[in-house]
This record gives sequence, structure tokens and C-alpha cells, in this order.
Amino acid sequence: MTAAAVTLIVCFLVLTLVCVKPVGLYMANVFDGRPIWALRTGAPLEHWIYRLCGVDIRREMSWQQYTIGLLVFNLIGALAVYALQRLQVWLPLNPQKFAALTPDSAFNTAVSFATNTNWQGYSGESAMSYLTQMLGLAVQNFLSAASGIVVAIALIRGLARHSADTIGNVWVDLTRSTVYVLVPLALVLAIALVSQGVIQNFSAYKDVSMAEALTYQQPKTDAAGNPLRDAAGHPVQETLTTHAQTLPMGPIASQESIKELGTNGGGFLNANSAHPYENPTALSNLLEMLAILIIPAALTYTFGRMVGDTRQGWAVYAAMTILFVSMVSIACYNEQRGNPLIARLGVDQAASPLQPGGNMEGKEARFGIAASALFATVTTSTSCGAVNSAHDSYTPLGGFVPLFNMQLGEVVYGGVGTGLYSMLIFAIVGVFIAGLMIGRTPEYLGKKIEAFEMKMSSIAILVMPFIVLVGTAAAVSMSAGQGAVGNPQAHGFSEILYAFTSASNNNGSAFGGLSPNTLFYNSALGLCMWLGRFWPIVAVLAVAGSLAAKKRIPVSDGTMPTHGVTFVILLIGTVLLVGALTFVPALALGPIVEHLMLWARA
Amino acid sequence: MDVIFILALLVLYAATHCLVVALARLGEPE
Repeated sequence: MTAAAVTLIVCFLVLTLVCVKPVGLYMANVFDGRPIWALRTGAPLEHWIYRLCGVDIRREMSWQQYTIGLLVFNLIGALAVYALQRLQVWLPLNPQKFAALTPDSAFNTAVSFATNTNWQGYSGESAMSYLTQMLGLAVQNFLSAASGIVVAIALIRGLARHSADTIGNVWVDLTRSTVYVLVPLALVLAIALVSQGVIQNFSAYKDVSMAEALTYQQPKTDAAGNPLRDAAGHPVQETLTTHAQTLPMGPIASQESIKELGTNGGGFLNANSAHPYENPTALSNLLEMLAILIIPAALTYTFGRMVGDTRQGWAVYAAMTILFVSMVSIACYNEQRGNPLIARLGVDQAASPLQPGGNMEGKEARFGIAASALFATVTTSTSCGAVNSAHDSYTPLGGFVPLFNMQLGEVVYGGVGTGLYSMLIFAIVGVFIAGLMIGRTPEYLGKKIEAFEMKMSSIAILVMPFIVLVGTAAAVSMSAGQGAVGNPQAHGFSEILYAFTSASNNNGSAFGGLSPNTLFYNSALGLCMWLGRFWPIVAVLAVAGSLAAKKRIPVSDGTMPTHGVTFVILLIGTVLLVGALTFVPALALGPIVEHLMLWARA
Repeated sequence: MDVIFILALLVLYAATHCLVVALARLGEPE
């Protein structure tokens, strides 16, 4: 790695660390309902929302009521997004007169945005009206992020309370996380992004003449959108020439800010954060990366604060940071190392003051290798899925990092809420394993971990690998799955594995190369997104309810400390073992074999 | 087709609702 890369990563980690305590403390105060300035100021709005919706804020909920409320809320969100897409041609704010999306694409996108996945089978600037983008997609960016946060808060309450039948009120938690956390942060970030050049308007698209004609190649597709192939199985390319360019417009900054803060990731434009209208400068890139991590990282402090021992939160934060640094180092090193086949042609791939060196394919020149690899790690270790470079063009081991980050369950800071609750489930499994080793009843934060918690934790952890592996196996076995793959051999397998991993983990980033806007992929990935989001949530909230009902055991000599180095190592080991052992066979068929084939030819 | 995909959303919700009920029963004391 270059010195510039190390400096960028260290500065980024320090900036994140600086934000953890103030933001985490603020969120703890919000969800504990303490009389802070923000809650006093927002009280009229908050109580107006409750009156409008008929919410009784004094009514606490059991875990079942809390879960059903959350599920109904997200179902209504998905139905609304579906309706908007199908009706957009008759609705206002559609200057380009975009037609309604196909039913399967609308289904996929509705599930995608209601589940915080934001997988995009469509191209935003050529399919979605401004109304659909704002009222459908951006609103879901807020609400799905709030849904993730409230599950984490409910689990924290389960750990913090004792002998309680309830875990909070889902409507109050959803309202507070939206009104006091997401909206203010998104507003500040949107203004900061506009200052960097991110656009915000309702203008129709602008056609401009180019100074010189541009000739380019693109894969030829059939009527269903699948790439056509020649007799050897390679994609057929068509050569096109253009003299004009259409510049997309739209309310991008407002959607960009919540896209990052809510770890949603669905871009207004198809190129996502690689497009200069979404991410124009190095500073906007840094702000966007920081925005992705700020809430997931700060929630660890919120956790420590709400359970009455901030050391617990710092231990979880430390485990996440160690994993993060390891992953970003692998990505940066391999991208800077470059492609050996290109080096064999005599191309200089060493970094120098005149060039970034390494593998620059698929990366924006204004970001370079380190800022691209760091962004890729940030976006896939959380459940964001925004991209500022083409993950498909990374070296095999560079591309392995985003894939493996997601397969770990996105617990390295993770998505807003999802990262913390998934990591706490791993902590429960970790103390259970430690309890087995030392022959004591496992306990976490004074709560006995018994059969029910372990069954629920197992469900929460195993749902994702099950649907990823079954989905990938089904896709590679069926012609409908194979037909959308743009590259042959191991890389093509990686593209399918990446798609199912991304959908099932509610990440939403794409490896590229795959043309997934087909009936098969829209339906299959839609199913994976729903199951990968809500089935673990049900199990996590069941754990929350069960833990809240338990008595707290006082700390004794036999209690395993869960704020020390030993616990951090145990937690990292549990995450790695579960993630690695589940996915190593699939990874061996994809990026690992591709790496070996590449370097064998060097 | 719209009916099929709206029904698919409702079926996904119903399946998840059933999971809540099943896990709640699993957690009840015997």
C-alpha cells in the first residue's frame, strides 16, 4: 500500500472514532426519551404525528406486537413503492414521461427499498420519475433505515431490562429514529453535498452536443435484456457512435444524503456514487464514506450507554474495527498490486507522483485506488451498497473483500441497526461457545443464555447463508440464471454468488457483468431480500423479548468479562469461523480459483 | 401480473407473520 492510502485510511478511522461518542450518546438520549434539547424542540411535531396516527405512546409492546407492527409498516411501504412505479406515467413530476416499470421490476424494487437493500435492477435516470424517486425510494430510504435502528434498540432494551414483558413501542421508536436522527443528519449532509457540486433540481434532462463524436462498444442484448453470445459463448458486442449526450437532472443531493446515512445505497443515477452528480469531489467521497459508517459505528456507544456500561460498546466497536482494518488492507493491497498479465505487457503499474499505478480499471480517476478500495470496503461491511467504482473490475482478491464482507453478515459496523443487532447475536453465540469450553452456564450482560436464545440466534445467523447458497445453486443450474451472466468461468460464478449474497444481506451493491433485470432474477432476488431481512429480524426480536423477561444475575468470579481483549478475540473468531466455514467452498469456486488462474498465467 | 406480484408481497408477509407465531409458541414455557 502507498503512504497516501495508509494516511487516508487512518484519517478516515480517526474521523469515524471522533463521531462515535457524541452521535452514540445523542441516540441513547433520544431512545431513552431523556429531556434533551432536540426532543423538547421536536415534541410538537412528534406528538402531532402520534395524534395523526392514533398512537398511544404510553403503551409498551411485547416482542410479538413490536414485530408485527414493524412487519405491517414495511409491507405497506413495499405496496406503496410498487403502486408508485406502476402508476408513475399518470402521476406528476415525470418530465421525461417515463413509462410504468414492468410488474416484476416494480416488485423487485419495492421489496428492495422496503428491506433497506436497494438492489437496483433498473437504471434510475432512464426509468424512474422524480416523484417515484422522492416519494417512493427516498422515503423508503428513511423508513427502512429507521426499521433497522429500532430492531437494534429493542434488542438493547432486552439486554438492559430485567423481568419485563415489553421491549418498547415500535411506533415511538420509528418516529424518533426518523425525526431526531435520520432527518437532521440527512439535511446537514445534503447541504454539504450541494456545496461540493451535487445537483438538486426538478429540471428536465438536458441534451448537449459533444465536441467530437464518440464511438463505443456495448454488449448486445435480446428482447428480454439478456446478453447475446457467439458460438464460443462470448458476449456479442455492438459498436455505436454518438454526437450528443443527455445529461440527467433531478433532486439528487436530498436522496444522496439519506442513501449513505441510512446505509441504503440505491443511487439516483445508474453509476451511483461514481457519477460526478452524486459524488463530485474527494471531499464529497470522504463525507459519503463517513456518512455510511457514522450511525452503525455510533450505535455501539448507544448500546454501551443504554446497558449502563460503555465498555461493552467499545468492545464491540474494537472487534468491528479490527475486522474492518483487515479487510480494507487486503482490498487496498491487491488493487495496488495490479494485474500481473498487464505487467507482463511491459505496463508500469508502480505508483509514482505521475500515476496511481495498480489496477485502475473500473475506478474513477478523481478517486484513485485507495479511496475506491476504502469505499468498497465501507459499503459492503455495512449494508449500504453504494459504489464509487466497479467491483466487477477489481482483482480477484480485491473483489473477494466486498463479497466476504457481506458473507460475514455485514457486522463490521454493519447496516444501521442491522450491524449492531447481528453482532450482538454473534456475541451471544460467542459466550455460549465460551460457556461450553469452561463448563459454566453462558451469560451475557447478566442474562443467562439458554436453549431458546440459542435457537433464535441460530435462525438469525443461518437464514442468510441458506438462501444465498440455495439461490446461487438454483441460478447456476437453470438456463434463466445462466443466461444473464456476462462473463464465463469463475468470474461468472462470482457474479451470481455476489448477486445472491448482496440481496440476501440487504446490501444492494452489484458486481456488474450480470444483467439481472429479468423475470427470474427480479423474482428470486426479491424473495431473498425479504427473507434475508425479516426472518432474522423476527428471531432477533424474539431474543430481545426473551432476554427482557429474564432476571439479571449479579456478576460473580465465574462471570466471563465481555469488555476485555479476550472477549474481543472470541467475538472476531466467532464471526470469522461462522462466515468462513459457511462460504469457503463457494468462494473457492469464485474469486479464489480466479486468483490462482490469474497468477498461474503471470 | 400486478395481481400476482401484489399477492406475492402479501404471501411473503403472511409467511413471516406465521414465523412470529411459531417462534412465540416455541418460547412459551412448557
